[in-house]
Amino acid sequence: MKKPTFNNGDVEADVIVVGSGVVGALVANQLVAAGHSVVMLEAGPRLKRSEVVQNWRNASFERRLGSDFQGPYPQSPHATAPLYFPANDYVALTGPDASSFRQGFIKAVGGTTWHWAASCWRHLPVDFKMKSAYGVGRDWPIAYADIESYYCRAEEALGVSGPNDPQRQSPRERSRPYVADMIPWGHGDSTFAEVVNPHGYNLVPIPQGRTIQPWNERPACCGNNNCQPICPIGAMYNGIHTVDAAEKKGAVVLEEAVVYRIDTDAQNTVTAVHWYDRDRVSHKATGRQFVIACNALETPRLLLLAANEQNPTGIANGSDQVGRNMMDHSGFHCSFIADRPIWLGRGPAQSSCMVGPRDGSFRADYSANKIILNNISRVPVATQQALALGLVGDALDAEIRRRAVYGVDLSISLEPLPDPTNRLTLSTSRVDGLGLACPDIHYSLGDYARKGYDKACEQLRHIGSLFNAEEFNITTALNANNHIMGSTIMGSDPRDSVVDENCRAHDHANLWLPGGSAMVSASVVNSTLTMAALGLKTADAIERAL
Amino acid sequence: MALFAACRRSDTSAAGTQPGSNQKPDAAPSAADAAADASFLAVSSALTGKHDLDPYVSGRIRAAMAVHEPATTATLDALQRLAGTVDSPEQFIAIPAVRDAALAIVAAWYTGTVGKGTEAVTVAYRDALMQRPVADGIFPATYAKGGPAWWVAAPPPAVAAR
Repeated sequence: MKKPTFNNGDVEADVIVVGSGVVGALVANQLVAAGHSVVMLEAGPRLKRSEVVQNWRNASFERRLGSDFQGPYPQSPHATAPLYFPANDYVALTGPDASSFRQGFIKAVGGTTWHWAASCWRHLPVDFKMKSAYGVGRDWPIAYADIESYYCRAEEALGVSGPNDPQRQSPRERSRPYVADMIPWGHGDSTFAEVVNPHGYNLVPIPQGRTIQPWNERPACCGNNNCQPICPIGAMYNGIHTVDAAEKKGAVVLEEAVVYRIDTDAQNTVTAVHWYDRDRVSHKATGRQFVIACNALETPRLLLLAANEQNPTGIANGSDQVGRNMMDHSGFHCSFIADRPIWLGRGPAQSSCMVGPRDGSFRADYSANKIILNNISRVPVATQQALALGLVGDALDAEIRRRAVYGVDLSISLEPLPDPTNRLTLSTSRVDGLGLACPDIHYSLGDYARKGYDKACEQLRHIGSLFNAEEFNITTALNANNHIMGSTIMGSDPRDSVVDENCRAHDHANLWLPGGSAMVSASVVNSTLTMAALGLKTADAIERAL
Repeated sequence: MALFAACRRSDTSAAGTQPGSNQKPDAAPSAADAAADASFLAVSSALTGKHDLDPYVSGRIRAAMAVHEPATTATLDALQRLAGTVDSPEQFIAIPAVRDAALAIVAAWYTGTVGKGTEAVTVAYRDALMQRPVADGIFPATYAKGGPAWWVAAPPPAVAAR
């Protein structure tokens, strides 16, 4: 087995992977299994699951109510990620919808899938052809058929339980069954389906990165209802599972290693990356193939920071598209008190979702949406509301129970289009703990998604009426969903795209940028499975190149 | 260029050492402390209508309020005097002079938190009173005890049996 070689703090390996989240880990794991030497450079620290669980248990009521999923995660002073309680303003946001782009992500070994809901959706075939089919956005340079086998492999890598009944699949086009059948529904999911499905909303089981039997050294899901911010037992897929697998095979992970510089030669081939260790000493990693998978905010930030003489506007940026076309599933919530018990909070955080509004000819005109039944316990919200009524004693307990049992929260996702003015640039006034420029992001939701919001509200009011909803509320301020996409966009034309169909940078033959940043269309579904599929496709291409 | 002051460890990493941690107190309390704790526990029972309150949580709430809620703490003597004269939590909070302090103590027991913002002290989570009203159907997050797929079973009736 080939291993990386160290020399005076510098390292050499066949493949250098920057970023140890799900995408970087999948690439590293496949390449080390194929016999290549692999180094992973991770800006943040290693984490202890038990410490994060204890931090969350000790979180204040206010932070729990505010869903402070970033707070429980320790950060290295040299690798800052956004915090919101209070805000650390690592990212400066501007634009009409700045507050809708307040992202959360984790800089630590294993990446952001430490705190996700493990929803593992595929794009629809038509999502790859938004321009051809609907006249909006861009077409991917690949079709669903080109990525389908990678979706299968990604589902296998993440251990995805999904509905094998085609009537409940979205999309139905698939060449292999799921690793395991769907995560079974609880009372809330089934009740909701009985009410809304006769009206065409198509509440279906969400394919999830967890199983109800032990699988691949992970325990069965035991419904701790704490997927975000952390699964206390490691049943839910986290990127750390793949990092651990890669390390066991001989991949070397260097934590608290912040890459800041990328060297290129006369052919614009990448020859090395440089990183700062925790003592701010600089080291060099040389290799034959380089992967940057730091998420769609940090990857373009690094490419811009690493601008050099040969690439003055940033690495891989001949198109001027690095940092542009930033997308997320800007979203909002709808809450109400239903006329029948729902009992949210039993089981995993998200098990069912309305995908009826996910596609249709209307997408030529306005954004699709999806509506998740947010299965997170209503106890904190119910308690806040009941206390505000000035109740005590038995009446307080009864009201908390009523609101927790009958309360509903829906999480709605919209699909913004790729807009080059939604972009990340480097701050000229703020630097991080290493003196590296912080990111600035300009974000405007756009008319397409804004009209989609209005249409979604009509649907939500109808859904509420089906439950004789009390205290019906739709949030007007949009929230981020941490599905950052588009900032090193994929395309066949190097003049208006950053990477090709294998996420290889157009400008550098041995530089690969897999993940959310390569995605061309957001669709309305969580991006992680598509990111993982792109990572595996990239890994295949790197194997051919090595 | 200005350095922005956010390069710090998350403030929860030291949570285990705060008064709200899940550790039993090390030193034996003084006689005055013990009396004050007993009094606070009695007031809390009268305000919540519950007589199985955890004395350790009670001590943590009292200590955290001494720091973060001076107005409530200043009202404790009055609350203690009144505790023996009321028959229910509703009667207790109906007394205008102590209403705010009374509701603050109830909120601390139910939410498991005293104080706000970065000053907030977590005094309980699993044992916070907010968990009790639905304890027959929902586990506090991270404390599931039902095993794989427990949630498939039918939930209890919406109105709790008494």
